[in-house]
Amino acid sequence: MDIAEVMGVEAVQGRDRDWFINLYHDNYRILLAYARRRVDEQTADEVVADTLLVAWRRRDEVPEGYERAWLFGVARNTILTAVRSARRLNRLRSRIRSTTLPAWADGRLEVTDRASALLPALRSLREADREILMLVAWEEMSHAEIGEAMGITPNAVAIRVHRARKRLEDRMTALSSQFEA
Amino acid sequence: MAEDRPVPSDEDAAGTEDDVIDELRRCNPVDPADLPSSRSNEAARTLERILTPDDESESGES
Repeated sequence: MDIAEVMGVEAVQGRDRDWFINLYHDNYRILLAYARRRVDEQTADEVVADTLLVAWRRRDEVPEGYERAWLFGVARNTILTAVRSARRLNRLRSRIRSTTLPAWADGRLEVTDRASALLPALRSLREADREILMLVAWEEMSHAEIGEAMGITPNAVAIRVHRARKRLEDRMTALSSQFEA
Repeated sequence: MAEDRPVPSDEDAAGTEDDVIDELRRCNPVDPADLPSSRSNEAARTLERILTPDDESESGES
């Protein structure tokens, strides 16, 4: 027998609604922070609203205990889609407002030594490397949570983090050596 | 698959490889405490829009 038949449709809807409102209040701000670290403020607001709408519509799929990781996974896909769409539009219209990068990643940071090379080096990594390092350092996620968000095993996460760290350090060395030479 | 072989855990890697991660943590460009909360007007409107069934919002718009 379906749970809706046992509890009644309205009771199930009320329970789902309460669950979602709690999810919303628990995750709104960290989801907004996640988005603002990756795109401009206006796009970040849209990403948060779209991600939470997906969570409500697909509430039966949100894994208990990994809600934040699941939301980040949806948000990441939403951002990648927005960035791809903006690039397509930019090819058609040169002056259109597009999804832009936040200030840290807009390419205007000057490299004067190894420490100041960190963010430019991060920006220069491929998206998958950049994302996994940001999840570890800025979102403070465990390997298990990142695995949930990216659909890979914690072991695979550990290997990717290790490789991404190495690439980041190599880029920092290359960028700072240009200045120091 | 190469990614399935055993690897150091988060804790094992700490101390030997975390310098650059620690540097990144210090450069975190967004502090959630500075952002609007889920109780802000904008967040409350977003929540209401999500929970409003499509047929209700469509009839409200027409």
